[in-house]
Amino acid sequence: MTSAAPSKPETIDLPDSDEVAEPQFPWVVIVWNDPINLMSYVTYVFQKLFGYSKEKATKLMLDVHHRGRAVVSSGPREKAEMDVYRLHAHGLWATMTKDA
Amino acid sequence: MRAALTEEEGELLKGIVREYLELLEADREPGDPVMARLFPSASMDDPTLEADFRELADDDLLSHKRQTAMRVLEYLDAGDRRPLTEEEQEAWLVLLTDLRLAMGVRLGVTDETFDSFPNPSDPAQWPLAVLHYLGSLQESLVTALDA
Repeated sequence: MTSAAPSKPETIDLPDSDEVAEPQFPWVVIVWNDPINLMSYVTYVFQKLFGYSKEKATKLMLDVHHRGRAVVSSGPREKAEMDVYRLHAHGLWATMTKDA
Repeated sequence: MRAALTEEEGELLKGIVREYLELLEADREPGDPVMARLFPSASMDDPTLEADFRELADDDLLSHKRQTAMRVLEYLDAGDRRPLTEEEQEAWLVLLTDLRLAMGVRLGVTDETFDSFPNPSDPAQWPLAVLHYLGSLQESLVTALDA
């Protein structure tokens, strides 16, 4: 796995606020990359199922594509199960796990 | 969006959808990679969660896939070229995904597969050409729904 260009010592990488999991939502839903699904379709599914903007959905899709996986939602167990089911119903491979 | 399909495309699609419906009805071979991809795991690390999910989800997922396929087959069998309703467009989108997944797994598609287009004069590559075709159909459908 190759790494991105090293950050300059004078810059600080602040976490993207979208990536910080809410402490009261212990379950996260992960979508895994596959070689078959179209990038445009995956983006569309994220918009449709989660109401994300096109920009956010595209970013998540690219994360899946380049990193192999991405967290697409989080919440209580029942919500995570429902999200996993809806993603499967749209042909995406998603799993749920307790957030570390 | 108007599904501007030719007669030949309609016949091709009908055949593929019917095969897919047969696949859904058939007895499951344990370890069949196509069914594993159409009914994927819900947990990587918790076998109990996975077992619970399978029990809750598999029947619903199966009937959802079956109904979606039948919806599209109805439209194709009717033979008219009226514009698809939004609900039908969604059904087509999901069905095309499932068809591509089933074919893609069978053909052993990798990340490199779509880097080049199959040679249409090589019969061995016709299934791959169909996979590409289904992809372009799906692409135009996504574009139409996005608009």
